[in-house]
Amino acid sequence: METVTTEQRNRRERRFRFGRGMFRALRGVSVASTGIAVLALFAVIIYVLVGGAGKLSWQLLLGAYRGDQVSILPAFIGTLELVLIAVVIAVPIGIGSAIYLVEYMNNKGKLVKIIRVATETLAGIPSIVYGLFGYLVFVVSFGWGYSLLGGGITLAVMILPVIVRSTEESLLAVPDGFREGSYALGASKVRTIFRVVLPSAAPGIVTAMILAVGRVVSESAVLILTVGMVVNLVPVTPMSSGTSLALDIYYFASHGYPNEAAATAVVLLVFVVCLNLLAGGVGKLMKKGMGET
Amino acid sequence: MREFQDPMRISVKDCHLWYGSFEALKGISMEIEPREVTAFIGPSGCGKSTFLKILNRMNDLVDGCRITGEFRIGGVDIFAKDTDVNLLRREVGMVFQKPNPFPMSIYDNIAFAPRTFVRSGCRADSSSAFASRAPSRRTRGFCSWMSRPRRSIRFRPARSRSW
Repeated sequence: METVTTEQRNRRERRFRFGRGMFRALRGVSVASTGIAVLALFAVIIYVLVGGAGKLSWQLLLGAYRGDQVSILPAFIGTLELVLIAVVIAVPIGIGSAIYLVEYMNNKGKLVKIIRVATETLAGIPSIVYGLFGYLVFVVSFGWGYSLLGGGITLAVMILPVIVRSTEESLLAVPDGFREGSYALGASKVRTIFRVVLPSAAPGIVTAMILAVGRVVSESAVLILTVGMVVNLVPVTPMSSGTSLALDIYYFASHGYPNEAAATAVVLLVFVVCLNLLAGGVGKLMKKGMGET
Repeated sequence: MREFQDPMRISVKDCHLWYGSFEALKGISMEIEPREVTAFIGPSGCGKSTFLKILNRMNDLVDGCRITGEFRIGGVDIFAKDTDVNLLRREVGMVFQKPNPFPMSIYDNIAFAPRTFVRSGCRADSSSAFASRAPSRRTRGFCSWMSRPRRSIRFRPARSRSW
């Protein structure tokens, strides 16, 4: 055993202290970053709550819009109509496309690659561009003017790639063994898809749909250009213009009703949080019903 | 009773199978008599399952799989253009190596085959080779049995097993 000099011992000590210091510094930076992120989230929520909680009232939520007495009832109806139109259009087309891509094309082939590229590109387009598309097509070319239908269709186009993608993933996650078992028993392809594959993929698909609704509700850029922003009119038909919750926030904030804007923001936040919780809960419930842990 | 020329004799002539460019089965011919138990024994990967899967056309599901040769079950060419594949798979049962239950209740798992069987057994397409016979007494009886609600499912498995 050779003797250890004092110099060597000091060097080892310094290296040890340096390593430990680095560890602590890095941990501190990570904790601080997390703290800032969480703080930002809470700042938004608290600021909105503080500003708006005071103005939450039945008049605001459900009353009639008269002069200075603002109400978001038109926005409620408008948002509902928009969600309905977008979902009714995008969901069947989206799920159908995904079924075709996975079950019939087997995820192979040139056509599948083209559709994949198109879907990914569509998913990345900024929403204001969708808004411009909707404006040029529905408001101007078709001559509809500002309409909920135009906005709904545009939103449908916007959420379509999301629905196709997530339905695809859910279908691909279904084990091939289920399909083989079904075919081996003599079930037709259609029966296999609708009785075995789709029910198995349902939790993922439903979750994706709920999150797509969340996206529709949060959208504002698209709607400004397609639906207009008629905040005092309760839309009766899809062809009329109207407003949505998100648009109302913008309107109130820019026209001198900051507290009402915050109140509307509270409503929207609550709605989106509930939607996300629902998405998670429904997914878990459906999985339990199928006997998966 | 459903009539076949040679009740459930399996006849294979010069079977070749390719996965892409790889020839997995090279010129297999054999006759399996009715009520005979035949075991295929061989090292792992020699093509036992591949051959068996030909008999209920499960290889149709495999991409790039090419099969040549003549295959007759009960005298009927199973690769004929007018053969109903689903009907074939119902007649030629397959037991999987690993348990393969559907993600449904046990009841629905067991009822899956009878529901499929009854649905098309009672509405058989008359153009298919397998269904050109009149519906058997057992099929008709089975249809009426299934349409009455019961709590227990008792049914006999498909009439022919490959092994």
